[in-house]
Amino acid sequence: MAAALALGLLGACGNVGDGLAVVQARIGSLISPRQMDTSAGPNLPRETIDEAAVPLILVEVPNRDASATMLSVGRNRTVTSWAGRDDVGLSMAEPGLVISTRGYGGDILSADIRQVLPALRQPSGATATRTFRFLDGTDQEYARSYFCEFERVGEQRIEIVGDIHQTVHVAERCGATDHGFENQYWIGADGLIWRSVQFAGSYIGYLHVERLHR
Amino acid sequence: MFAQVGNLMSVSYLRTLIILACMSLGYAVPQVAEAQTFQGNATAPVTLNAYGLPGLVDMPTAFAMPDADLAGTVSSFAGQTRGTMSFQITPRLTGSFRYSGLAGLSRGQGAAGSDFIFYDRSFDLHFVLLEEGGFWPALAVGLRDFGGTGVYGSEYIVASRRFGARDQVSATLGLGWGRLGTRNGFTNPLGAIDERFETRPGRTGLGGTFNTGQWFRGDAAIFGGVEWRASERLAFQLEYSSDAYAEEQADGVFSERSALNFGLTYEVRPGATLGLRYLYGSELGLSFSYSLNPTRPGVPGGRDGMPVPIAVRPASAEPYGQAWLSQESTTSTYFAVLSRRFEAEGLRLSSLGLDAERATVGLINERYQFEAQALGRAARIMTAVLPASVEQFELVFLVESLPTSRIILQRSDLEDLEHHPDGTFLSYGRAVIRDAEVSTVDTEIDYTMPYPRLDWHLGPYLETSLFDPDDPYRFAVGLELGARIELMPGLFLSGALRGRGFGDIGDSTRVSDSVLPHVRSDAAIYDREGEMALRQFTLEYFARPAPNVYSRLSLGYLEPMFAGVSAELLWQPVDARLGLGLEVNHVWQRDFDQLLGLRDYSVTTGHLSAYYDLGAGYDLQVDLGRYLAGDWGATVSIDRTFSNGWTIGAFATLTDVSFEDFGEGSFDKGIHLTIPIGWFLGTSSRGEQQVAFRPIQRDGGARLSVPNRLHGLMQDYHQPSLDQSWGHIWR
Repeated sequence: MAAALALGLLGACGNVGDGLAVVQARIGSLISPRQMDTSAGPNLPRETIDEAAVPLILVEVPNRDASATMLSVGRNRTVTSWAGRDDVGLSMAEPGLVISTRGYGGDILSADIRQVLPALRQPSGATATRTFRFLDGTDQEYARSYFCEFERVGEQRIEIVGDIHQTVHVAERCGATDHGFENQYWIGADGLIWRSVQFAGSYIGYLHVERLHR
Repeated sequence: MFAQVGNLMSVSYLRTLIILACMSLGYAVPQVAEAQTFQGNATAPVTLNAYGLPGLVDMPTAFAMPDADLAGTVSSFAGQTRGTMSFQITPRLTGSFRYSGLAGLSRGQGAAGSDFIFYDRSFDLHFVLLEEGGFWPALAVGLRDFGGTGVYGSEYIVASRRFGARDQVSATLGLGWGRLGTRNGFTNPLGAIDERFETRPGRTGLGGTFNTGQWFRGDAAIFGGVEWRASERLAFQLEYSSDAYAEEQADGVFSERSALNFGLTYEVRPGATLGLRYLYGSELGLSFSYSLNPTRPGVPGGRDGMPVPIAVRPASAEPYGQAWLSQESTTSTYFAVLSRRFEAEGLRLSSLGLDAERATVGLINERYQFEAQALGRAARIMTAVLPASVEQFELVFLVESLPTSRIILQRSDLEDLEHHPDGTFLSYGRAVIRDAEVSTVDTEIDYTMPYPRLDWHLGPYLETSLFDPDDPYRFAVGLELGARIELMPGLFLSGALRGRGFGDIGDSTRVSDSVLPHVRSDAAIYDREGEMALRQFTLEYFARPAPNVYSRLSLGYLEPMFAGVSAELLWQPVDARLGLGLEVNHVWQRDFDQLLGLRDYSVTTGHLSAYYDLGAGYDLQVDLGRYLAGDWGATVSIDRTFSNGWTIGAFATLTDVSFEDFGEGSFDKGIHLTIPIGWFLGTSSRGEQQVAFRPIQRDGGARLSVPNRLHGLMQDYHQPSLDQSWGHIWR
């Protein structure tokens, strides 16, 4: 049976269905499905970013040693969708909170961060409940909710590809019954999150997101 | 009907009833299991024994594998090799099929050299009566080799319990009958109920039947053992075996010096376990088992990339302009653009109907295992392409050009729910799913893809032939060229030609001794002469004669062994659990060379079929009718299905052909699996491997393998399947 699968993957051609090109590209993943194709975004120099004049972000996934530069591909009210090479992508709600991911595997399907937004503006003593939704092994949605506490860590100057930003560093500590995580945000005077470390579920781990464009 | 009827009818009938009652209890558990986890499956990893079932070395334990686990085990010692496939059918019930090669076993046929291998097929059932808890142990009952020729025929009742803070140690004690009652056996305690339990009648018949007349009869013996789980991966087993291997020792296969077995198992990778055993004080044994679980894919949710974002219309107080509709060739332009964008996402646009406020697309899903994902991706593209005034999207899924279901979505809902935290649930509530023929407003199809349409493929194939005692595994590898032309909507001309490259599948010299017309048992001759074979060459016509009704007419060389005409009608409402079908065929047997010739034998066959979705992923199918050898009877199949396309099931057919006329195996039965390729890849694919195997292929209860039977084609796009896959709507 394994031989049949292997044969099916290898030599077939024709105009039927598209699956074959996808299949041939993924042969490596048959052996270790957890390894994602890394699409390392080249480290773009500041001039290139400015010339491009389009919104750009850099997303790194430490768990996988992968990073991608992503372009804005859509906007729906306050949510912007971003996509990089190899079709990985995510969506962020203003001012820069990750609410869904795609292409990483174990993706966040959707998230409820409505209580997080006001807490980020006034972090001292603020609390919020946030919820993530994922797909389980039987392709049904399930939700994970966390209770989060915020702390204004302090002011910090950060540098992103040559540009300096004066930001306020805010930490968000979230817990559930058996596990928890900690998100970090560096929020500029304009209210935008210039840099953040956001938890994206236990399969992906943390996402390090940096806003590259001005 | 199939029980061995002897003088002891009442005893075996009662026993069968009790066992069936317990099994149906096992079926009821999945619903309950959602509310409370069945602890028996949730704790420490379960060791599989040399029989491929939860156990120690040779002896069973009272545990079960995690629900829906599918495990393959190969174990061997002293030339006795067992290959077992086990499936956790329900949280409590484990079933397995085993093929064993036993070197040197004579089976009373006179002295056998050690190079003579007796091949044996057996089926087992293992049922957990009680899960461990409080002060009591887990309790299970099992039937080993309950049909077949009975080399492993035994029954047992066993108790096991785990100890330790992390359940590192388990102790097992049990009582076995049959082969498990041969060492230090004593008079059957069940003899207190009825003294007929004290003797075990010999095996009768041609195998394949349920030897209920034997179950739990004859001497009983005690077995037991302990297991110590030293780490997550490493475990040690020690057992006292009640199996004296009397026959093997009499044939000189090995000689034992002790009743104790020692084992060591090590999980080299998740799901893959190596076992080393020291058996009966004299033999070393080796085993390997691999298990996977359809509900635990490598990549949860898959790794499909970013879909096209919903293009939100600019806010407007006025209704959106409709001037675009009256422009020249507007529909063909939109058709071309949509078509191109659909292809990039593995979808095919078959037709388009456009009104100022409504668009209807005929859609063919070529990529997504999860139909709701195809729906979501198509809808996204429509928001990006169609003018703002189009508010209502109607997507009709086509299979073989037959409209199956029509899903109606409002564009405003798509815009609102794309990023909504509860978008999946809410979008399901707002979608309207109907049978494709039902329409509230007349829709004109303004533009369709051009006909005729050609699809072709050229690629390698692998064919296997199993379980021939002369050579249990034969195969052939070659090239297959196939083409399918859609001449007009629903009318297809297709053919497939195979050329064998190499392989020994044609080497069998077995001659069928069947007293029935050789409708399937001459497979060896077909394999031998079919080096270049016209697998199929047919003209098919699919139609929708009425709401909820589908029809098919097929003409030509329908399958490798038969040619003729086949007609089918299916009634299957889009939201129903029940479907009913009627199929009638008239076929001629094809020449052995699988080219254009026909043989003399012809037959009219047909079936009335009922398809029922039992819920919790179990599907039942019952077919009643006439089979290829002219016999009348019924087939029952039960499948466990999963949202990701995995299907594991078993079937059995009983007809008016007597067990003697059927021959070895007594009646037709088997196991079939559908293995979705996308599950292994992590990205979407509709590719599947269908694997069906029967312990033995004979002529009774044989059904025509006509391609494209309607139920299998349609059900993917009906409500139950869309429900199950709706989690992928926004992916």
